[in-house]
Amino acid sequence: MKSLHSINQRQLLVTLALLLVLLAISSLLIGSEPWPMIQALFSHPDQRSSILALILTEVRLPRVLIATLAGATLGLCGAAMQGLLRNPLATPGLTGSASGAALGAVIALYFGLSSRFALALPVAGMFGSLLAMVLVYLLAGRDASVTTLILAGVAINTLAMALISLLLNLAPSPYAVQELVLWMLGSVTDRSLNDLWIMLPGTLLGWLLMLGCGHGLDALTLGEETAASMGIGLNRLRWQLFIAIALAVGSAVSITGSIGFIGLVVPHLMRPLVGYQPGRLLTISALGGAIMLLLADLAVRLIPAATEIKVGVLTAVVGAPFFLWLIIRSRRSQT
Amino acid sequence: MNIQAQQLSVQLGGRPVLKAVDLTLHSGELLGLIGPNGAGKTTLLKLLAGLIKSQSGSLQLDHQVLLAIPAHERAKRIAYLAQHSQVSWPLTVRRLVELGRIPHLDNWRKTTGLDRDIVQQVMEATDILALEHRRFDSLSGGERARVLLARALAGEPEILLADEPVAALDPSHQLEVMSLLQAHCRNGGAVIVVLHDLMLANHFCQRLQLLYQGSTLAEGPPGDVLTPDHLKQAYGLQVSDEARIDRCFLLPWKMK
Repeated sequence: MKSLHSINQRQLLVTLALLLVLLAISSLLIGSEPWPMIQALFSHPDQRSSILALILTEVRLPRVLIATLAGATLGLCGAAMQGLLRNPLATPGLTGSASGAALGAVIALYFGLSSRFALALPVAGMFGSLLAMVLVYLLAGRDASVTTLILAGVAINTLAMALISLLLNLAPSPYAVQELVLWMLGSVTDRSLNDLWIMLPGTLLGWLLMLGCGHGLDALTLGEETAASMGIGLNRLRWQLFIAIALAVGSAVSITGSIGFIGLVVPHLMRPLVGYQPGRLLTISALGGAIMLLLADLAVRLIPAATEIKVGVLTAVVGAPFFLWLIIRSRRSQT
Repeated sequence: MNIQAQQLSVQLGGRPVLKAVDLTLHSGELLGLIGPNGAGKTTLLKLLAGLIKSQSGSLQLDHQVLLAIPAHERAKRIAYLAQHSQVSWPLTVRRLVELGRIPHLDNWRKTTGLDRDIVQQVMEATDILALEHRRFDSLSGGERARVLLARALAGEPEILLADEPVAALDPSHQLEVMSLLQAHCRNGGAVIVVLHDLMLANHFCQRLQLLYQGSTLAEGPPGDVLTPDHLKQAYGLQVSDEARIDRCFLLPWKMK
């Protein structure tokens, strides 16, 4: 039997990259009203140039690029976290980094730090993310079982959400509350190129740090002692990944709000395609994450609803049942 | 190549696990570490692998303090085969053996043709080529043991530290693994192997070191170490009178 393992890695990479480019282009062209853009393309050049250019560069382009970056970050961070903890249920959402980032960003928004200093938002997100992750890690311990890890994650997530609720509760005006709540639902609409620039440095640095951990994550497959005997500095690996995830997730969440389950679902779907090797999973999972978020963002534009459904809501609605299925399956394999 | 360890002492959780243990190892040697459970064999092996630190004593590889050698350099020379190796993801056999090349890879460098050649040779030597596309979790105990050994050998280490590599294997697989260790020594490497099977220790090792309660009770050629007196003291065993302690039989007969 020609198994999935024999799929050529380069072919997989190229296929996913092509799919991503195709999706990005369709995403530029398709809106909640799919036809005007295409009609505009075929209309008289003088008429179309200004409107079309404006919509493309000011509305669609930032949306597509931010979705790509945020999706890739979520896929990559999920793969890295699962590799580090050697646990297919570990994700930025479960291990506190996403809710920590949300809390950091809400604090920055609430106290108006972001209006005074543009980078305050992602920086606050990064710190919140790092703090939450370290807390979960300390709570659960190194070789935590799935249950311990989830419990620790739940505890820290609950705390972060409680603090966010407190800030919402204390917010001076209902408008501020609405703004924060809508932001938290997770969306890539109405973002500007400026948002993209704010997001970019932390995202790229985080990616770079994570992609440099491939061999370390591979070695961890054999357990911590064996990895250490293979020359992998475990403490360094852990901190490098924590900081990398904080940088990338902090940047992404502060611009898009919370978008859950991509970090869980994507690495899981991609893992068999790379023969379960955590190092190889990183790049593939990043591409998969970008594709998944672009798809989700296309879906929310095309789903007919009175108000556009936020993309974070859609990924949660689709992702949560998937998570349940994972738990049921892992329970079956244990018995 | 040689390892010189003197007066190594280790305390874990306030309890002395190793007490002033000496050890030497030279190229071509197959040294067996034996002793009852809790005698400190695994601790000594981890010490030699650089995974833990001793509270006192000196440990040198080619007259260099072992822990002063950078971890990635050390990893190229010393491989460690853990006792209960768990494998977290169901990699295929070939991929798993390839992991053994990691000590020779830089952060951004992937495996090259040379790495793959070495992996191929090691898989041939350990007779696991037929398993190359199988997932590790689908293998039997004997197959797993050979694959994990191949992983350790793929790093082309001078020194292999193997912690009970034949535990839970049937007799023929035990002999297979021991022959592989022997072959590694014949090719100029050196092996320290923790064993519970005294017959295997007697048959395959050039030297044995018998640990008891964290100290060396006896050290030397198997004939000198596996004496009725030593076995009685270390294991509380009385060896059968008829048993000849040479290259053939060693039968534990009854408790003392």
